[in-house]
Amino acid sequence: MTILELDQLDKYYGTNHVVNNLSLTITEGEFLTILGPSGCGKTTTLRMIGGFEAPAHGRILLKGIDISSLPPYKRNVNTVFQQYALFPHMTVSENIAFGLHQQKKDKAAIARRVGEMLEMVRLKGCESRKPQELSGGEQQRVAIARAVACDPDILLFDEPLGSLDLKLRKQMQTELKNLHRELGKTFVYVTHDQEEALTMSDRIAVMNGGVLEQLSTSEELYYYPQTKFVADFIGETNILEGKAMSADLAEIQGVIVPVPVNNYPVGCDVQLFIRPEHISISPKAGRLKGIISDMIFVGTNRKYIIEIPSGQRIIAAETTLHIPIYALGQEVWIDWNPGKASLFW
Amino acid sequence: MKPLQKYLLLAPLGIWLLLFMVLPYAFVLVQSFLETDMFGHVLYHFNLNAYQKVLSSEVYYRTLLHTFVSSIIVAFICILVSMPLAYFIAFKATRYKALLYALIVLPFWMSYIVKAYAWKIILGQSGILNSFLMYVGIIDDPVQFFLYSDFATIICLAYILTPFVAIPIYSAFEQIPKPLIEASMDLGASKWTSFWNLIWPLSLPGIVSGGTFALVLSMGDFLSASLMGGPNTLMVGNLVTSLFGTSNDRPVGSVIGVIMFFWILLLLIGSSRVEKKYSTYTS
Amino acid sequence: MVRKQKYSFWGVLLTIAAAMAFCFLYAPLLIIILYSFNDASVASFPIEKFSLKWYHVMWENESLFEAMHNSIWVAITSTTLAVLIGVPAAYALNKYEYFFKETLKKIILTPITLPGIITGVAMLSFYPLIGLNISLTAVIIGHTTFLLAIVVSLMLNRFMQLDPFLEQAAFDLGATPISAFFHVILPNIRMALIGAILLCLVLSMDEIPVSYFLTARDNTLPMEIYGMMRRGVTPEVNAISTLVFLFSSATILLAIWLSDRDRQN
Repeated sequence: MTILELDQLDKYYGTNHVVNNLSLTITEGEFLTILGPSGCGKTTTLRMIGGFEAPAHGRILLKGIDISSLPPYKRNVNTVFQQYALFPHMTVSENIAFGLHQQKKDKAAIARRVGEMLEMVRLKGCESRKPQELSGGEQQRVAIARAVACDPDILLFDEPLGSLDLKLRKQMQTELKNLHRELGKTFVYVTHDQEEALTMSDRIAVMNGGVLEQLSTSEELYYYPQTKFVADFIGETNILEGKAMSADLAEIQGVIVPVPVNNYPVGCDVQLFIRPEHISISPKAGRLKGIISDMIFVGTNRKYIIEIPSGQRIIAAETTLHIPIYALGQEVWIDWNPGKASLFW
Repeated sequence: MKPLQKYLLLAPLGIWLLLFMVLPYAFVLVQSFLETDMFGHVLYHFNLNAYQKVLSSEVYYRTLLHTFVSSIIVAFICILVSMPLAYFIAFKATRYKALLYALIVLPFWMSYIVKAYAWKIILGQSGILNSFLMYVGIIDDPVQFFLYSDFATIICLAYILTPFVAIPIYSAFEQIPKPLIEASMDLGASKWTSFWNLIWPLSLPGIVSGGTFALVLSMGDFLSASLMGGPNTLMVGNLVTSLFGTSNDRPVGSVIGVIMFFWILLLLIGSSRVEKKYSTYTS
Repeated sequence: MVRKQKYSFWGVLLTIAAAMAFCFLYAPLLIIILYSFNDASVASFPIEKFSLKWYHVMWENESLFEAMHNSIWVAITSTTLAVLIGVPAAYALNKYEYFFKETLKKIILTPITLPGIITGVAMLSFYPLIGLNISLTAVIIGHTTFLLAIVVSLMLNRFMQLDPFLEQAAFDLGATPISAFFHVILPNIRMALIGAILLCLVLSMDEIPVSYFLTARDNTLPMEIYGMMRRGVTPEVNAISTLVFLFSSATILLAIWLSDRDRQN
């Protein structure tokens, strides 16, 4: 069931078109991440959902009702802010109770709910501490508890893990994922960290320059990028330049290779995107010839850097064997499964 | 909703400032082009008579010049007193730095009239200074020029304005990175060379801004001269109070007000130029 | 590298100069306090007998008390007005963009940048034209005008240091703008606000140039003292000055302490 629908949203900062005709639909209970480089409009989109920015055009429908002109305090949506924005003059309990007080709940109900929340984020015993006395991870949990306490229809996260160190970030990712499962609530999460997005989300919306590039699951995004930007932005990839020859053939580096079926005009410049793990190396035969110019051991796999005659360096990832099969300077052939490559122009 | 709030919150301030500040200032300019009848009532006849009166009278020139010279002396004394004070707190004081700084901020906020009064009882004919000097036998008769003189006016102003000067000079000293001084000493520069080549140019913006404060404020002062000044002490401020009071010639008073305003504006612009020029060194 | 000996000539000279400068700043204030306990009616050296005589004389001076009463009334009213007008304005100036923002910030400071006499004669000339004859009311309006410079600049500075997301978080959790201001913003700027209020009270209580031109029959305290001084040195001014001095010091030290505490939080 659709819980939130963004319908052709536009937002400008001066003449800068920060969100451009954005439409997307979010299903109830879903963990949706908006991913993109800084300045892509992802935070602005989240802030429009939260009510902190007004769209220039378009509608925001929460449970079918247009909320785009409602102020933040009239939307049943809560945000976990980037720097948490915990109220420094209030204790942990008071912070969590703030939204409930605004709803004019009775004292007993508030106390009960605050207790539940403290339990949920495992902060029992910190009730009367001030936010400044907590560690970064604990502050983060208070921010989550405070947002969840009001029982919102949707929880918004604005790069909430950005200021934590790597180890804590990994731990919080797991906690957030568990929390999502326990609560069964809709999460909309904004990040520029693709690994974070890939590991946590049900679906990912990739944005670039204010435009929604692709909305799909992590796997689809990785293996079947729909735009050149997505193919380039997500994960590591090799880009081979060439020319389109027909609907399913292209000339790449002087070799005619099968490519995914397309309708690009014949003769136009195209780019073939191939993931390193989809490139196979063979000493005898393949599509392109090259020389092993470097090897990098990265644990689960070993990366070979192969220099092809044009001078371009292709990265191939092979599952790790104890001993490298190929030697530096060795002449090899590379090949790939055309079905797993993507072609753009 | 939002744009409405945006202007509603600012509207009371805007209206207040316009009505009670901007229009009064503007009216001084208007009044300088008016004239008075024989009873001192302002008449709405626009002309340049008041300007003519001011520009053709030697008294006004003398007063302006006298005020300017006195103010420069005041500013100079303030800087002279503030420099060692600020230098000491910035570079020498260690444990009591915050306390010493508070001690120069405190007089800044003290009642003007109380401070002026102190000098009146110190410098009076049978005042503390004279009776002290007689007590220890340096003089036999009270020194007359202590009170009711240019000397008293200038000392009193310098005293009142010193904190205005010491505070910006101190913060200029504080902004000089300590390692820079150490490096200069390390490279063999003597204390004097490091002072002239490093501390002086880097603290110049603070000195200029403090000195300008003292200059501007003493040029507009009328209390010090009226309480401490002698028969020859005529400051612009006193001229203006008398023109708006007993002499009752507001248009002429306004002309002097306008001249003061533009003269001060010029000083402020000039000093902010100098400050900008030298503050580029620091960054 | 050769270490300079600890007590160099210049170092000693500097210390002496600094000590003299401190004396210059504080000796007059101490003299006032000391001589307020002098029994004689002439302030001369040395003091021969200490007494509280001049405090008694001051206590009997009704016009002084009336002036003090007037000053307190002016200070409280003008500070209240300045806070009510200045704080929302500072809040808006921090939060929103205005094309005239920089100009306004400069204009607002003019009454504390220009000598008070220009402001004083400007108000004296203009206020009667809008039906505001010289009176304590005119003094209150004059004081409010320059106190606004203090309130707006201090509070704007404080608002700029405040995390803008605090307010958004309050909105997000269902607080209306009014509720967010009183429950989230105000508690966080409280100390700075109290500090600004205290400074305003002191400035208004001590102000002369504007009051000089705008007072009619009802004198403010500094104007009353000024009048007493014009009539000659009367030692009861020592007594009242000592009290003014103590009031200002206590208020300012409290203000400094509060703003420091606020910054640490």
